[in-house]
Amino acid sequence: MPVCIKGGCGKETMTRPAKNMKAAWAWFCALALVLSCLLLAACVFLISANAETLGMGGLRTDEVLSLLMQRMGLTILTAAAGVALALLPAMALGVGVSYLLPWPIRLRVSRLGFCIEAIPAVVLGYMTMRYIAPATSNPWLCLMLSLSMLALPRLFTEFCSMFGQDDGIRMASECLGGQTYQTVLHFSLPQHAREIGLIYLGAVARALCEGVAVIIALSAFEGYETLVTGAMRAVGVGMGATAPALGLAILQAVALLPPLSIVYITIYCMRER
Amino acid sequence: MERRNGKNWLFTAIVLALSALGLFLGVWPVYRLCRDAWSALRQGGALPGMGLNVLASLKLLGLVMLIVTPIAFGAALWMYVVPSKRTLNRIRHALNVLAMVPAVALGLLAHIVLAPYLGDGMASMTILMCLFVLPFLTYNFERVFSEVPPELMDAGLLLGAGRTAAACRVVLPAVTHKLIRCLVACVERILGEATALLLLLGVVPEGSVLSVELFRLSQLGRQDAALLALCLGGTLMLLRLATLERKNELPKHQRPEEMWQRD
Repeated sequence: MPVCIKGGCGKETMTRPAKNMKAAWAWFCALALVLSCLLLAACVFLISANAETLGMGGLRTDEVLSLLMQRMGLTILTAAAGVALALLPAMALGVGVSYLLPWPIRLRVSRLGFCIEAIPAVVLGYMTMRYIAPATSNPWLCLMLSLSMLALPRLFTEFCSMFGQDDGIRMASECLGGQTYQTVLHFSLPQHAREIGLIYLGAVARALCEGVAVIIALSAFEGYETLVTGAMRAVGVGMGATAPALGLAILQAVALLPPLSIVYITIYCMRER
Repeated sequence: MERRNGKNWLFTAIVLALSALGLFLGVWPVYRLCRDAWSALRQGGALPGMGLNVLASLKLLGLVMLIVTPIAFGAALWMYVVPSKRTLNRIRHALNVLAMVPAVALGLLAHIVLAPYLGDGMASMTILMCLFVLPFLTYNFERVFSEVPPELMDAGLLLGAGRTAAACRVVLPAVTHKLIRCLVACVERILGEATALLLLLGVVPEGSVLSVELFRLSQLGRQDAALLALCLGGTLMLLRLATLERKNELPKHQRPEEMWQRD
């Protein structure tokens, strides 16, 4: 992207790193996408050629490709939507705790959230299967709710520590006669916009790689798999597992690379900006 | 003024409603789990049979910590004392990348590379978990050392100590509690990890570690899995609680922000 660096214009100098970072982000994403797709294609080609040794679950190459695309779509959509579903309640909890509660209670609630965050995914997956899956007849909804339940404690603690740094802003706003909603909407949220984006992307990356919780939650439904659960089933994990198909498992793990690399590159570029 | 007050009330109401939704999503399943665990306990649930799983988990934990802790500590201490800033940044980036490798990739790698040679027993599981937590622990240790005020090290050097002696005798005592918190975070990770282990094992055997056993019981639809889930979740929560700082500060994450994988 051509950027004017002559003329001594202060504004131009200040906006240049941001523009460069956007260009770098676009280039890196394109490069990661091309490389990971090439790697995936090479893996499909090599594994198809050795299908008898590695095992493709009895599927032809075109069937495998369509299966990978379908599962990749399901994985990305449910991860993004599930985390988005948890984002607003977690942010509201963070705002409520940081702005509406007195300090000692705020400290205790934050610590409680920090402790709840330690509950492992396998336990959360079990809770989803037992209590949420029976209430939802749709596997997509169940998966999204399961991912949002997984993301909620971590998002809450992240937002608590983020809004916990706002005491200065809060005091300044109150001295100027601002009310809580004005402080949050006009001072705090705009200041933390990038951090919120980073927190969201981080949670999406985690949701994309989530395995055991999702496989337990999806065991209530048949025929719905994400890339990770597909890989797990292909090596024989779970009750409804088919005959081991190592080739298929490898392909599904490799297919996780394009979305994950783009999310990580975006996080890196946003952090470095 | 009244309009502003009205907006403030509306804002508070929206925040409270969304918070209630979040609390419901978080608290209701935990309440149901406690109820199920209680009824399983009253029926004489899985607790007697859990001994094998607890033993397997403790064995894995002990072996992994025994291998990983000295390596991570040595690496972090070396990174604090020896390299230049440029080299250090490169090593940090490499550690970051290694720590970001998802559990599914490591588990599959172990299934392909380790399982054919070592079988799917404790040896493979230990090596897999070592690979899983070593970058995480090294990164955390290194971060703890890098947060030490440079004056401490300078004071040690001015008193005539070498860099290693100053690091060991002046810096180390100042960060011991933080290092212990890193170790506990590592313990949480080992006890809670299931995806990588399941991928290594394939078909899940009986008497494996707690997280894997919970998966097996949940797939069998056993009621007493609730008890196991509560024990595992509760233990990890208590561990986290024990490592919280006593001083009047909001809790901070031990793991680096770049590490998004958790199981």
